[in-house]
Amino acid sequence: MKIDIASDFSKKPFGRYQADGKNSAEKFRNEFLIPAFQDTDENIEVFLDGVTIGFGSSFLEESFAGLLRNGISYIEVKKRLKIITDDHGYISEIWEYIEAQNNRSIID
Amino acid sequence: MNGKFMGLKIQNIVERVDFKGELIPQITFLDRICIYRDLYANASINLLNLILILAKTEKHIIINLKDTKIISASGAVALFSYITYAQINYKEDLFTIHLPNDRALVKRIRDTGLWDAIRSGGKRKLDKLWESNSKFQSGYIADTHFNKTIEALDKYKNVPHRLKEAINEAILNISHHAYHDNSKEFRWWQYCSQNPSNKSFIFVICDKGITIPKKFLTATSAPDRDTIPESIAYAMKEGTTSTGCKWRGKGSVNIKKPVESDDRDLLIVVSGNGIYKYNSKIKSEEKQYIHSAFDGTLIAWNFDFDEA
Repeated sequence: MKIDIASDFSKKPFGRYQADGKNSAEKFRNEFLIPAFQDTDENIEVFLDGVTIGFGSSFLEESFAGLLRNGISYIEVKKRLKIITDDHGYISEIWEYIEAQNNRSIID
Repeated sequence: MNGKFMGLKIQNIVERVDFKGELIPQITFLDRICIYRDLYANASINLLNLILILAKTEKHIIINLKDTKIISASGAVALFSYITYAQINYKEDLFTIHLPNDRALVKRIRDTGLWDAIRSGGKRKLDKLWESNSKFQSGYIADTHFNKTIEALDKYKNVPHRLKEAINEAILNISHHAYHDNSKEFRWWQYCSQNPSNKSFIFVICDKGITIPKKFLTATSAPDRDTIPESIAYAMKEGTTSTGCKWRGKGSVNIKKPVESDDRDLLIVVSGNGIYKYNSKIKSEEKQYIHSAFDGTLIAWNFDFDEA
């Protein structure tokens, strides 16, 4: 399954919570990522490169690490989520947030 | 007041002068307005703070820039923020501004849009700046004005790598943390410029919020010459957050990243009585206490030391 943030969600993703604006991470995660994990068994490819304004850490952390805070298991995310972008900095950043959230879940 | 002001030779810094038959206060700025260069920071901030002190009670104030020869980018944003904050909150035509005697500086003030930004007017004036080519802008709706900022940035060649992400997080910080929840608006002021030869780039953003030291220093950490600048350094560490949520506090990494790819680049944060400088070359930090408290937080990304 493919999710292209720019064409499917917004070319201007911004903010962490819905109160931050209409293209927040919370909205993206709740309306696109969580249904993708819950409604299918497929791998989920998320394409980043259509967004040219850049991704703030708050958006990336809340979108992807937020999956683990909202009922999606780390095992499922690790197995099925693929981040597709030419910017490898974003890939390592996103997985860093996911791993950190998983580590916090284990400790807590 | 003549003689010396904070170590600098001055004349008539604040005095009452005849203006249309009334005696009104005139604040005379020094030859250099800058918020973080040692010798001038205290004096510049002190004079800026006088603007807000006088604005509370005075019907009219003269801002005298006649002796000013240099206004740094940070100084210009600070001037922009203090003057327009007073215009919005007290009176739109509160100020008469005497431009510098230095003609080259006057031209620069007009060409950059600083004059349009600080002349009489209120919120509508500031909103209209977004429609102009002014390098000075003021936003208050995080996502809308961030998008407009990016549209303006996209007109420049060679926007520094990861600067958009840094500005994204800086604006989000202002929206989430800089002001008390019951504040009327979460406003910020910004400036962006590229040297005509494309060798340097600067982006400055500031708010008039709580300040980082006040946010992070509690009653048990008495604010002093050491703890105040240290609190800014602490706020800039990855994972530091005032929210209590362990998954937050990642924005500081975004904010530092743009200056980490070239050893000539510099990040400056001025907040309250503290100045923090981050140099990418050896990832060193410089922390400094300033006597005069900047009313808010200012962040500047300099991609050439000489530019700021």
